[in-house]
Amino acid sequence: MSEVRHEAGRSAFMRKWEKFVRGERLRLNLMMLPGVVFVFLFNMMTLLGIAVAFQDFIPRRGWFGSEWVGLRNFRLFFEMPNAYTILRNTLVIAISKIVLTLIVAVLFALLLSEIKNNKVKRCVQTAVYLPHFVSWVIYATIMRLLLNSDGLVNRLLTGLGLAASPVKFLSSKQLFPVVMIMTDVLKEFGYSSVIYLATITGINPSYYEAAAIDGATRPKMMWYITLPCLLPTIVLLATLSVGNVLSAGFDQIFNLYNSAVYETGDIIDTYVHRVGLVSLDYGLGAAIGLFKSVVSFVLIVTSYTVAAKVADYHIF
Amino acid sequence: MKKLLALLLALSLSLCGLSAALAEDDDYIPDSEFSEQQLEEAKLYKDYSGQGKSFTLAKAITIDAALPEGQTVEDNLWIDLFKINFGVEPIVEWYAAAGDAYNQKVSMCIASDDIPDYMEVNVNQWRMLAKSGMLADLTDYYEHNISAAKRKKFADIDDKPLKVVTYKGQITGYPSINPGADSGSLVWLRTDWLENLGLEEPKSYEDLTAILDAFVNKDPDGNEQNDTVGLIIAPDEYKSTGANTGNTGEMFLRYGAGVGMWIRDESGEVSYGSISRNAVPCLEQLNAWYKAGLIHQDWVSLGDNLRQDISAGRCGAFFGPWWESWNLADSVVNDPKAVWKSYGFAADDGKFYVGMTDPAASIAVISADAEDPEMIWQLLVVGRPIASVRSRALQKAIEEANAAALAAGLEHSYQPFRLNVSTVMTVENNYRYIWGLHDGTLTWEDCDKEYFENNGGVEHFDPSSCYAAQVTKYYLNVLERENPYEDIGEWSNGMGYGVGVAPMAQDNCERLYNDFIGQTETMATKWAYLQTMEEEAYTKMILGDTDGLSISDYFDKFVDEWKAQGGEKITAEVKEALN
Amino acid sequence: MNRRKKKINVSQIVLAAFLLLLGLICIYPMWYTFIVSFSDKAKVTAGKVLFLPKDLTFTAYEKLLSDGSFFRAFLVSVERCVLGVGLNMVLMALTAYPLAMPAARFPERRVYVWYLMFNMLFSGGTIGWYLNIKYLHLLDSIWALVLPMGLPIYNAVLLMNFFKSVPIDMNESATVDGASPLTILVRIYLPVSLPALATVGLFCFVSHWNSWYDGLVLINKSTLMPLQTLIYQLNVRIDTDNMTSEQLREMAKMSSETLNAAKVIIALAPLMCIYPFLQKYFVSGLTLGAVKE
Repeated sequence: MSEVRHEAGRSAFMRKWEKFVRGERLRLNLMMLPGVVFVFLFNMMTLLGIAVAFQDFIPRRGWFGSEWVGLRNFRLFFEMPNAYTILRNTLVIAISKIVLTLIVAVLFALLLSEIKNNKVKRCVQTAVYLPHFVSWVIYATIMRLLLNSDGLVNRLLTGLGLAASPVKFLSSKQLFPVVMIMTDVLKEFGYSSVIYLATITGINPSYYEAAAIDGATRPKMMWYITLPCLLPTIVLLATLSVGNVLSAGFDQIFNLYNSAVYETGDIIDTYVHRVGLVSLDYGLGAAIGLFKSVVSFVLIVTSYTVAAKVADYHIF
Repeated sequence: MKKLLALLLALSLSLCGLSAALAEDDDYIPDSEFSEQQLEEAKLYKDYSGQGKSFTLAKAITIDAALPEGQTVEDNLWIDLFKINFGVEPIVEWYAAAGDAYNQKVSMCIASDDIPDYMEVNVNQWRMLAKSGMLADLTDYYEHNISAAKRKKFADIDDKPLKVVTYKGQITGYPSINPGADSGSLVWLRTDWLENLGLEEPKSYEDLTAILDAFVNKDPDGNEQNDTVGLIIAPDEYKSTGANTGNTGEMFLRYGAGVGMWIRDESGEVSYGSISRNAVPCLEQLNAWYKAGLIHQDWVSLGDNLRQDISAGRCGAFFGPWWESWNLADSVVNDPKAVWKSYGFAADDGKFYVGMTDPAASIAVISADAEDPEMIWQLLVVGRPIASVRSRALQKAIEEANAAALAAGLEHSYQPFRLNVSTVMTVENNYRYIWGLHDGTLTWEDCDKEYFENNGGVEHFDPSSCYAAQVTKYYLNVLERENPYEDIGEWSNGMGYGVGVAPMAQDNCERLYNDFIGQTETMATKWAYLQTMEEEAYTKMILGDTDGLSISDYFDKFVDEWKAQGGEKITAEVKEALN
Repeated sequence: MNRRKKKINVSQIVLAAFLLLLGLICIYPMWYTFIVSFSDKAKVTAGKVLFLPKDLTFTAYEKLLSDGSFFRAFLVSVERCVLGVGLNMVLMALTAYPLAMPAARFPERRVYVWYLMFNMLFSGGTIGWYLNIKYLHLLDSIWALVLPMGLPIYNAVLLMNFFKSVPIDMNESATVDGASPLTILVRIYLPVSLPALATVGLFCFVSHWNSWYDGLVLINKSTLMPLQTLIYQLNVRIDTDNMTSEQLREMAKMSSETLNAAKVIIALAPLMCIYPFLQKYFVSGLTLGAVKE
């Protein structure tokens, strides 16, 4: 009796297995395989390097020979008297950049998609997209040209009577972060808008036709059609950028900062760069890198969970 | 007939043999052609040629499209010369632009325990290499494989450079000795503006106040526009040990503060110069100038645009080293009426104090894994003593190769070894040569004699084969011309040597060295922060951004903070290290 | 009727004007580099070059045309981009499609998502990355530039998001007809996601083209140096604290803003060519309308 049931149980399993092998699930898993292998080979295998963050790393002795110092490298960073200032600067600048770039990019995409003339559209798109490709070294040179006491911007401001004397954009510790944020937004919003534009062009035009028939104005259509269709992309990108909250833009700040603005402009990466050059401290660099990764991971997982629980929104 | 022919044949053959033998003898250079000292030095030479030997090296270069036709970094006329000279092949394993790129690559090489046989590194990189045991021990070579003249170069400055490269008793590097002149920061002024305004040349920093005021407010270029700017200085460039455009280090020294240096203060104790109260009057002076608009209003944020106003003819005063002539070329091209001159001002005791760059700015290291470390040492340090070349044919080949490289305009930075173990006074000496030759008080032979001896018998002072002589010739040419800027290449190459270095070539120039170079235990963790704090404080004091305090009070606050955050501890460690 | 048309036109013009002005502001840095490359060096360092080239000169470009190493670097970059982007597209498509499938059809989905997220955020640091590539014997070869960037997870996630928005009907009907996922991906999803593919393809291309650190550190042979590594070594803000005075002197001797500007312009050229080509996918609105009845 039990043998018969046993037989029946086994063939049920075998049937399931055969279905799996013949079926779609296997194929889907197989499709994932090449990517998984690549990621394993080129990322997972590097994870041994995380050990350096906990060591007093001496090159010749390698990972297995260098002394373990536990959390000393991390403590070293947080015990710095300016650790709090650096963290604060990093967060303020990074979050402002992320939020502002997102808003401007979306607004721009919305506005651009309203333009009917394809020629104008293309021209503006190409122009706005370009600054992303200019390296910060060059962009910094230009910014200085424009923002110096006798640069174009100040000449305009004083000429139009908006400022009594030239504004010290790059050497005032109050203004420096603002200038960093705005110039970065100017540089990046175009490139960031590409995704939104691509999504907008993918929206079914019949939605707009139907809305037009119902008598909707363009702004209303933007609000009720375009934005909701953009929302998944916006939320996805916002979530992913949340992981960058500790990277406030090394290239930009490095090329434009100076000792008058350390108080508000010095970020984690510029500080580590200076320290690293002096002491070639591999352990400290690795520790900071690990710290940033952990924070990013926690933040992304949190925003994913919040979106899922609160808005029942599954981003990934 | 046959007999006659046979006799003739025998005669001509023996004549050939005789002349060949004679020729061989002609090729050999006898002892009599060399001095005692040269023969003595030649004994150190070890011949590695003909054994197919090679070694790997890495190079820091200035990347530019100006490599002459057919030359590459790995294979060029300097390397050809090297091969002819030594019979050993240098293999350039990799190269990168000097500065960030090179440092990043070196950092990665060190981290992955994969360095070439020979590299030139900075002090911090050397320290990591030494700690990791990746370097060959050179202590013995300093005893036995070095000429007396070369050894003396280090001994003359108390072996300070050697102390820098010693780790746990082993000397594991060969440090460079930079030309002393490189570290002096001078005040460059446009003398044509002084003339236009009827002003006299300044003799002190105080005199500068009136001059700067005139430069900024009294339209010195006569174009009836209020477009001139004040003195150009650079943030973070105030240390007496450095020299770059905008560096005010020597001004601090004039007031008695060796900023950025560990030196003995009035009480004879070693202390860190940046916390000396002597810095305060200098800071106050700079702040006064800034408030009066006599310093470039954007000096803090100029960054890479530092030289813009100089080139554009809007700035007539700035701090800079003797070699600014290369940067000034743009200024005189844009405005041929511009005439620049450098000044150094004495302290109250009449001496012009100059802080020297750390002697071990660049260190040559040999890998512990190199197949033949001694060979690399020999090539680098012993080189090719004059008396070691005994074949005239070889000597000729070497001279031709050298001349070919110079003629092709190939930059010296493409030579395999780029370490500068020069005489500290080399640029100042050149200044003397130029004016001596121009006046007629010196001949080329006089110059050669001194130069040859100074560099240990390696190079003759000859414009076709020696860079220093070449530059001398350039400037002599410039002095001959009606329009000095006619050949801007010769002018920018020679002007520094002929005019720029003048203040340092005077007798009252006194050179100060760091008493302590290296890293103490606490420095490894706290120094970066202390430096940041120092830079911030100095910049703020010059700006007058002192939270309502007077500069003097703010300075005291800074010093207290500096001591509390590790400075006190580090000072104690330094004192201990020096005893 | 007439009044409404007029109203729209005015707002269109205002909008167009505003956006064009924005575009001009954005284009200025590029324009500046462009005119610098054609100007006289002395004028450039004096800051006299603002809107137009001063003392028009072609010497910079002439120098470049005769410089073998520059074009060799250019070709190396082209090679790594072609290989790299090709690999990227294949891997991204293969990864994005299954992840775009609902969990019912692909239960393992969650596992892969976590795996990829983890790997996107955690890595072994530069030392770990370098040593790994070294042990895989890829150093000093073109593959060191191509393979490690094989699957750009961020872009794959973007593509997955696009795939998700493709209406599921066609997919289901094709599955019922017996088509394999691969077939569906290639025959249905790819043709219909052209804006998305163009976008992520562009991102991958830009990533490869602009990448300079790997070229600096993973490659020793000068014949394999990619273009941006070469340019980085020209333009990098050199940390003069760590340079010997001799190096500073040599820098002063050889600095040339105009030459560097010309190199930057040539390095940007391929991007400028590719972008308009892809742009039509963003502008014309190739849509998923084909799916609707």
